[in-house]
Amino acid sequence: MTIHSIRRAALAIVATGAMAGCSLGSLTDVPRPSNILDPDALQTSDGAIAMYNGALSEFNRAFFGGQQQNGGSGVIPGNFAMAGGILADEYTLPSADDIDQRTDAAGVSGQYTFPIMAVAYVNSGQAIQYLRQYAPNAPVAYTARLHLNRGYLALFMSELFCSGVPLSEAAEAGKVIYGSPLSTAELQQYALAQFDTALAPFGADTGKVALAARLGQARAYLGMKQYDKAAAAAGKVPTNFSYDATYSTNVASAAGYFQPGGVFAWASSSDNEGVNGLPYISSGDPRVKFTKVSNINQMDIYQPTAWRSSGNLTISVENGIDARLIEAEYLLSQGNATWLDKLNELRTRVTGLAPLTDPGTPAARVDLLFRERAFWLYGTGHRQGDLRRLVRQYQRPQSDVYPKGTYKGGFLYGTYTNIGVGLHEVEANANYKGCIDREA
Amino acid sequence: MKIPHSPIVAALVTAAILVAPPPASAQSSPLVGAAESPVATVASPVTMTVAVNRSLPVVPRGLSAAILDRLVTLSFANVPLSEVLAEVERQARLGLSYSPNVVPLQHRVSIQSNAAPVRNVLELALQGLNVQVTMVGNDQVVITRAEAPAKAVVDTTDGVIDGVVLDKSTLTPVPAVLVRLDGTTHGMPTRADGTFRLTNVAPGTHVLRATRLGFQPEEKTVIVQANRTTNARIEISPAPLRMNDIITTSSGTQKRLELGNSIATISADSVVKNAPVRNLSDLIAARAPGVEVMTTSGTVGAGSRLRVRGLGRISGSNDPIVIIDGVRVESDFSSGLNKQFNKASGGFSTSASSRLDDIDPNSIETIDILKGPSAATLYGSDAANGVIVITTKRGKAGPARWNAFSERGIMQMKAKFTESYRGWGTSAVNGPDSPCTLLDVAAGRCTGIDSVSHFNPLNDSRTSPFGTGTTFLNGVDVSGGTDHLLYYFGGSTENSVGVLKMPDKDLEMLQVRRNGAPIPEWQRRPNQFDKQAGTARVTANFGNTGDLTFSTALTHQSQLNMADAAVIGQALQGSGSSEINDGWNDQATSTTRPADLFAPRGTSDVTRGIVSLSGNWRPFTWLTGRSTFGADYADRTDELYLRTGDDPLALLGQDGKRNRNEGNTKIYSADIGGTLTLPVTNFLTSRTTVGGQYTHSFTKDMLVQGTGLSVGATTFNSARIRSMSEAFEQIATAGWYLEETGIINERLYLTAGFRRDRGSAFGKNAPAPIYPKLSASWLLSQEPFFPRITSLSNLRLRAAYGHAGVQPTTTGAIRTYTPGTGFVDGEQVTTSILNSLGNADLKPERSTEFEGGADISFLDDRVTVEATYYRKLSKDAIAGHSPPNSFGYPYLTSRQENVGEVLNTGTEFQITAQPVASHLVSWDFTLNLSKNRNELKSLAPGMGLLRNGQEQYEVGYPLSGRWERPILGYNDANKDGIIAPEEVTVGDSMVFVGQPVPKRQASWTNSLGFLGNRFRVTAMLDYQGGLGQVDMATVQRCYGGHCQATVDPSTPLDQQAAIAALSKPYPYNTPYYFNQTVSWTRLRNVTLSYELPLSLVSRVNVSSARISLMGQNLWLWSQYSGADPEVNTNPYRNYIIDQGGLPMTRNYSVRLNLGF
Repeated sequence: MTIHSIRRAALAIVATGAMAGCSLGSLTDVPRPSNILDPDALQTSDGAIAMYNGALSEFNRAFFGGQQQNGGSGVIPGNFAMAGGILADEYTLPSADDIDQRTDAAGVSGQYTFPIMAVAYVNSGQAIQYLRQYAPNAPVAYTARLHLNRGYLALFMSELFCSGVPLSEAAEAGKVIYGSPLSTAELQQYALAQFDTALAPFGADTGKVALAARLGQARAYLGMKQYDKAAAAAGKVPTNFSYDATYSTNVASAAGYFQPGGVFAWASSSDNEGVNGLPYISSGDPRVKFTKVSNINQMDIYQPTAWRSSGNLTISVENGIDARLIEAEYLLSQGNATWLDKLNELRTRVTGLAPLTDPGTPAARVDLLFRERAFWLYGTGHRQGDLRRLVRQYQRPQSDVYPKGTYKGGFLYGTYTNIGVGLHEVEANANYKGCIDREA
Repeated sequence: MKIPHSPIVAALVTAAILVAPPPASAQSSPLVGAAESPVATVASPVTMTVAVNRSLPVVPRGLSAAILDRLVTLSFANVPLSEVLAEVERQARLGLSYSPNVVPLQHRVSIQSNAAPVRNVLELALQGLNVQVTMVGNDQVVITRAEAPAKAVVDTTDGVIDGVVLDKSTLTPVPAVLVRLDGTTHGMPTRADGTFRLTNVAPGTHVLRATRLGFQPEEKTVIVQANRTTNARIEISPAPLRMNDIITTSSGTQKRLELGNSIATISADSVVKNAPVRNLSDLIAARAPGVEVMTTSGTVGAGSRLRVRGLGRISGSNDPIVIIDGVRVESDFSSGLNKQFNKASGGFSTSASSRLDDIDPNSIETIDILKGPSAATLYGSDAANGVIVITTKRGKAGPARWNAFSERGIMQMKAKFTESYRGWGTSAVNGPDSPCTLLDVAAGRCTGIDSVSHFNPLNDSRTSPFGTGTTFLNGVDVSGGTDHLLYYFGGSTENSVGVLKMPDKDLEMLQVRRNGAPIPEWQRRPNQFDKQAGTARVTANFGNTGDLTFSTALTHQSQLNMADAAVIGQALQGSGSSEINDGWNDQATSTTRPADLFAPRGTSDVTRGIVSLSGNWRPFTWLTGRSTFGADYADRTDELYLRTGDDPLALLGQDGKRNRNEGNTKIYSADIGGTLTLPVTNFLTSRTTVGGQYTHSFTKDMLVQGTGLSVGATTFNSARIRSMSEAFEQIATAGWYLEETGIINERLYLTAGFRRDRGSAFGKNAPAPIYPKLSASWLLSQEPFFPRITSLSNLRLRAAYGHAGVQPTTTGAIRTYTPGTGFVDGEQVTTSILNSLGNADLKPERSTEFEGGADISFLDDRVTVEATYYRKLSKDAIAGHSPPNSFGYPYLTSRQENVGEVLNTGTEFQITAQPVASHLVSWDFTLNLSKNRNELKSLAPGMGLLRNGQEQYEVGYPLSGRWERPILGYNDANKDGIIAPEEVTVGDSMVFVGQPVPKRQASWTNSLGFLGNRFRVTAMLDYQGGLGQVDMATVQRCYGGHCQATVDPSTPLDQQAAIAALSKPYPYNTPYYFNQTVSWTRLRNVTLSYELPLSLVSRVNVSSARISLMGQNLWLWSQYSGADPEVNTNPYRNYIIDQGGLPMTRNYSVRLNLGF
């Protein structure tokens, strides 16, 4: 064999390799992992419905809480009902905690709460996209309910977090939209728009979504100090209506979200917390019942009896009782004496509650109204918004409504009336620079 | 006679030989000439020496030839030649010099002579022996191997030396040997046929020095005459030199000296015989500079973390890939579906086994570690973290050779654990004699600390959960074969029981609790490990044209391990008194002690099979082909079972639990290539290699969990809550490569090549990456111009540059959703929720590395130094970047993004030396030194900090560094002598406190041999420095109020401040003080071995027997505050943490190696 022919052979080998290289792609086409779904797999009617269910499930999780990140055990205060109650006077912790203490110098206290709400918000947006595109024949209530939930999420965000909350979106075609901060007022407007959108297909219907949307409108108007419109929206909702979040310890994926036995291993319902707190436990009020479950750091731990540790649990996101309370607040704002009748009508629904009498002064009337709200709506994420409204709408100093004085370990309560959305948002979202207003 | 090796005589002999003038018809090669020419009696009157052919020695005439004319009378019949020569010597009164290697003294001859000249007698006696007789002086005659006829004299006043260099062992020509006149630069390398010619050599006596890397230097004295050609024949012997090692790379096998990279090679067989090695991690640890093996725990069966040249990746695995006999195998310890034992244990166990350690170390011949992209370019994607190439043992032609070993050992826990403290005082709530801390006093919850008690159940024999562990290792192998069929079969077993043991007190407690029912052995000794391994390798040789090898390795191992970290944690937070719960934690929700902690049964079973079929085809001398097809199958089943009623503590959340995690990985791989070697010119040889590789892995994983089991039930059917998750993924990579090496004068190797790859994880529209490489290896000391330096044996310079890639995760580029179930409106529903945002713009990660260095050997290669500098830059580094919280992070998977550049620079040295080498005593050592600097070089704008708690990524700092808020100061404002949390000032910004890989590593292995190495002492010191470790076990202990500093009023304020800072409100609660940059030195092992005398062992038909006493982890020097700086309870991630994992045990064993 000559050098020449050897060279030709070598070139042939190289050419063969090159051709093989050109077709490498066919060798590496493999199915995608089975434990995740890509967008292609969901681009069907059933896929869109599954996303709808997922978005609702995430909304429940936003209410009931999430598991600790990084594989840690236990449950974090990552739900808005608990987090708001900890900042306010509903819950307290046996160990020092910056939300409980009302200190948030680094603006990170909402690092768990905000994302659990945001993931529900983002999934709702995704589900809306898919329902519209791939399940056009799905009941209209599906899309409406997702808007409803988005409205509630925005509303709770406006009540819990400092002004300047970003709402990000997972847009179509794999793109992402980083949210820009919305002020408290803007969030309320946004929430109202979501409730309007949810209600639009129903007109005068009295279905669940429609009633919940009207309640949402009422809550939004209440936050905007438009008591008349709030009362008007609330007036169309019967007292016995409730829009609920649910969880179950019998469904593994749901049970993991919230375990009262876990939460009340580190948190407790509070009683007269920080001077201004209400006597939820010691009052013996039949609307709120508690069970002593343990003692941690020489502090008794009380668990709301309604928060069962197993089985199915339903907690009201919003209900008709609040509708009546909103009406009462409107009447009080108008100087209408029937405001107290509204409250007393509600109290007749619970055995053992005596009728209220007019305390006689405007301030005391407001105090009474908000106390009634606190006991009726205990543990449902309303108290934080109410305290903030007392500061913003009724000009109460924050030190007169939030827990104050000596905190645990020799610390003092701070002065914050809201929490930040988490330092990571500053690090990862160029549009977000931190709270734009820490006032109530 | 006969001092053939005397230098004087040798010089004289050589000189005499080399003064011979050439015959008129001389050929270019004296060897060929000697072999093929007919009887060459030269009649020149000036000739002193003649060349002879094989059949008839010719002796000289002329000056001084009268000696050969002396007359001798002989009468011998069939006697040894030695007798004839002796008689000639005696009668002729001359000195005959010869080497018994040249002259077959036992050759039998018959000779009858009556007063015949010596010349004729010798002609007759030496006939047919291919020797020649030379006169040296008046009375001296030497007999040497026949030389070729001398060549024509060059017409010059100077002389010429024509010669050939042969391999002494094979007598084949050796090219590229630098032959020169000693002390000058006058010389040349030998040609392809081993010949050389030196012209213009001044008349006189010269010493020729022949050197070539891989051979021992040889000198030869020649006498050059004016206008004459002197013949020289030099035989050189191969040297046992590292540069001669055969290294297996993707493009086939090559000699180390041909590669431009530093390749670490571990001769496994010799290590295993002389050191305590239970698994592959033991084999690699501290034996290669730049390779870090971090043992994660002292539990038996625990895996180790392996890092080569630091951390290169921000997220994803930093583990190197592993190739066994050409087959890609599963080895990843850090990430992926099928890796984590603690998935089934729910995080309760932290000491998983490693797939790397499935491989039986007894079956390995060599391990080559290709450390970075410049060496691993042709392995393409996934090779950026390095490649470990394992070659298993193979048979050698000959009768069956059996080897067997048996090892028996014990393990002991020698670490001392810090005492757990408790302060006693009067509590405002619970009254006197209550537990109180200084912070309780400061806060008014207690009136003061009246007394302090301390105890740690780990340190007390009555309560200690540690016993003596045992290990039994046995193995046997046989190898042998013929030239046509070679075989190797081997097998080994291991049975180890770890040191964890249920204390007697807990046993009694448990028996009472269980109404006397027997406590099972797995609960008494909750850490055990069993392994069985078998290896077979059969090679069929088809003459010189090819061979076919089939090999297979089968392994099965079972690990029982639970609660190693938990048991230490519960002791460190103990009651502080042996009287209270035997010193165990009594302040948790329930008591936690071994009786409870050992209740869950955690097991991991792995069955592993690796098969390969490889062939080599050599149709021509210039063309070779090779192919390997193989498969690796790893099947793993992890189980956790907790019987209902056995967990009064609800440690695992719910009573009665069973988790089962089944996973398996199949990897199919093919590797085909060919090499074309062609001489281009007299000095240049071209070697072209083309090849392709294909790897396809399938991974399945299924996790089934049942919680709330019925009493006595073991099946999932009986669980109140059942859940299941399943995952399956495939990854395929295909690539082909071309490599061209130019070999210039056998001393300069220039290589260029590239690989083109395609991976299933690449985006569909992404172009197939091309990874280029360049390398050079230059045997500088072989160059003619290189000056002769006393003591310097060889000098090689090398440099390499190359790229390699890293695949993104399989779904990094696409938006994904997670299917599942949810509970909505009172009903269970199927759901899909967003899992990952995806990144349509994701590019593959690419690492570029340059390395350069030198290999220098001194004193005839008794001292060798390898020095290497490397610089590895990973561009478009992929990071699982946490999206903003407003997308729902951390409830979404991180989004993979190309975030920046990571730089690793470092130096590596390996020094091997044999300072003493006598039969009586020998001493050799290997010193490995390495230094690595790891740095996040840049971060894409807008990425912000990449954070995961205290693990952060900051430009200018190491990857996965640990960051904490610093303690800026403290002030006992109320002068109560107690530092409360509010009296500690903590910084608003985090500061860097430690890196997760050591900055410096060193190991020093010394071996002393006595009496011809019959008795041998080997010891290894292992050092790591600059490692950031966090003593989280102490943090938890102090946070819980169990430190001396938390209860003792006399504790200095700075120590109080360090602990008070733990209790500050989030995010200012900082364990800053407990982050330590640790350095440690461990006496890793010591082995005393003795080779039993053959006279003794041969009586029982044993050909060799060596008995060894071995100790492992014998001593630790460290300032680390925890029990063991090497513990890592976070083995799956980059950053390390010590949360109370089991420290390394001290092991002793005795091993017997037998050969048959």
